[in-house]
Amino acid sequence: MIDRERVWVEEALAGNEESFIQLADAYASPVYNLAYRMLGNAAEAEDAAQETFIRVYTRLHTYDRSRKFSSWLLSIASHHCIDRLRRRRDNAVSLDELPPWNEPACEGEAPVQKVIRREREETIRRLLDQLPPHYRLVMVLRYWYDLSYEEMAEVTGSTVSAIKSRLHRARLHMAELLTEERKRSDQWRPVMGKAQPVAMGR
Amino acid sequence: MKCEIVQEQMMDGVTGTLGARRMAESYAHLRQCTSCRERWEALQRVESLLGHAQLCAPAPGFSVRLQKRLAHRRSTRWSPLAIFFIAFSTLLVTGLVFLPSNGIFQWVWYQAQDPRSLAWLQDVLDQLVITGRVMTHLAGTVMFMLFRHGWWLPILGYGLLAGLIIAAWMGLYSLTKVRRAVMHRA
Repeated sequence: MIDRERVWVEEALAGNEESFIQLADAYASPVYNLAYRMLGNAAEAEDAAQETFIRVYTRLHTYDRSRKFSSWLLSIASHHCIDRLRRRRDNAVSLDELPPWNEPACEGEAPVQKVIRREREETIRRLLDQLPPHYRLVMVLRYWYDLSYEEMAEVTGSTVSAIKSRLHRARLHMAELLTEERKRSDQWRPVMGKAQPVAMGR
Repeated sequence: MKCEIVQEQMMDGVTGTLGARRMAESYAHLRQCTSCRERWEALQRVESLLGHAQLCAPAPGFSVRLQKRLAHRRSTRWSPLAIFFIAFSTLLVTGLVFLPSNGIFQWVWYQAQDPRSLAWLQDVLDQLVITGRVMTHLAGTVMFMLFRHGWWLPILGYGLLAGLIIAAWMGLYSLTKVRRAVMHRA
């Protein structure tokens, strides 16, 4: 992959757009997934992923070949997503105004598994949405890309110690949110249990 | 073992990077401490929730859409040379409009009327300051646009701008000299 990637980068630098498209095709999912997890909706993620690739195309001559291409690419994508989140905050766009979250599609999945996966995805989205952007980014890089602290530092442009502390706080924050959610759902469960026979009686 | 130490070690414990001895010590503490146990369980829930997270792919045809967008961006993007010429001619026209209104012609006329007066020096300095201000504002705006298209364009632009200003002043200087000579002869 890395050898092919180098060839594509070299050819794209020489002006071969086909090679760049191949490169984009190979990295479409990682970039889209990062945008999707950061921004929380499919339409904006698609737009952000495409914009990331356009930026990569125009800045390809600045790519330092001693670095990992994927790290450089994810760095551009993550900065772009954080910029978008900042703009969204400045423009005060409510989450209700955004298009609905489209969960990843898995073909040939049993209906029960599909329901479980959908619930899990919904919980992840809710929790990620409540995290500040920088916490969200480290969580995404850690859990979806399995990056080391050094790689995360390279992608985000921070230090390893900053990443460690950010990840620690992000996990704690998420754990607290998850506990709160569980408590809330436990509170509602008996009420819903009582309401059911009344509805059935009608 | 203190709660703070156990909570610090929890992250390593959750990710499975904590040593066996320390893990056993932490477990011993967790059996006794409810708040630490709750936190530990919450962290484990996060780990299990995100541990199964899937990478999601864009809708089919992503690269085709990207190719179209690239082509559209290329067609709508102005060439750096066109931007440079438009910016430079704007600068030139604005300069030509601004300079007379700032009194260059009046100054030349004044020189022709009374070449012996020393007041011309004050006028030259005034003109330099006014022209400099106008040119700096314009050049700043133009160069900001040009910097987005590579380093050579701003350098070329600044060179041409400096050349233009020098040429304009040399022209004015020689015009005044000629005028003075004519007046002297007369």
